[in-house]
Amino acid sequence: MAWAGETWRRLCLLARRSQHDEELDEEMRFHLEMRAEEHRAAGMDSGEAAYAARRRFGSPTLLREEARDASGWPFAESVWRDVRLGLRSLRHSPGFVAVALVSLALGIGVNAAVFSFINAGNSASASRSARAHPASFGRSSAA
Amino acid sequence: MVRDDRSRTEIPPGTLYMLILTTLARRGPLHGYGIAKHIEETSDDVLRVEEGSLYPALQRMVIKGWVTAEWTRTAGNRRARVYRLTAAGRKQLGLEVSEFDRAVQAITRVIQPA
Repeated sequence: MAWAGETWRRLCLLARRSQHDEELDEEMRFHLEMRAEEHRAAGMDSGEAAYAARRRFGSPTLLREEARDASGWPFAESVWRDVRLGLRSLRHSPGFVAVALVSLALGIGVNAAVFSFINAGNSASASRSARAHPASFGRSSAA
Repeated sequence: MVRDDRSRTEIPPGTLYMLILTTLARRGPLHGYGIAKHIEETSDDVLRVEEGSLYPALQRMVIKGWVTAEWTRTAGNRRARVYRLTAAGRKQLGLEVSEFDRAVQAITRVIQPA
């Protein structure tokens, strides 16, 4: 039950990802302003106060990334990004795609053909020897 | 009021959820800045809440369903995202506090002089 609720909330966040990122940015801005105001109240001039607030805050990019990881499926998202990058780079080199496809097709085709040829030969000789065996047995016993 | 950094202590790992939940239970709905401020002031400026861990923790708590987030206007007519404790969050708070008590008692027994 708790698990279902969690998944649902994750999906909701995923569906409005960009809005969610903007909201996080606004939240961070609000935090910085409040902190700077606090420094000003303590007697700093406004430039110094804003700088102190930013220094205290640390890296917004890092925070954004961590918040993003916290609210999504970081593993699935990175796999999806990798797949899309792969497809994009394939589109940029159609010659390579053609060569790769042709060699794969030839390789698999030839492999399958050789296998079925040998397989057919083998089973034919196997059934021949199976038929021949009792006969030769009979012959030898008759002899 | 703004203390030297050296006199501040990082929040012990694993207790941030408990501190946030307690704050919301005591003070009612608050924005992230208010939560950080409350923890710092109530601990006489000993505990220092890192923004870099506060906001990701809040996100995780929203997803776990312990708190809900909504946008409101502050007294200064600024937009702020305010977090509110849910019933599940209240239950979680009880759990975390009893777990924490158990750990502290155990640690005290270990470090006490024989």
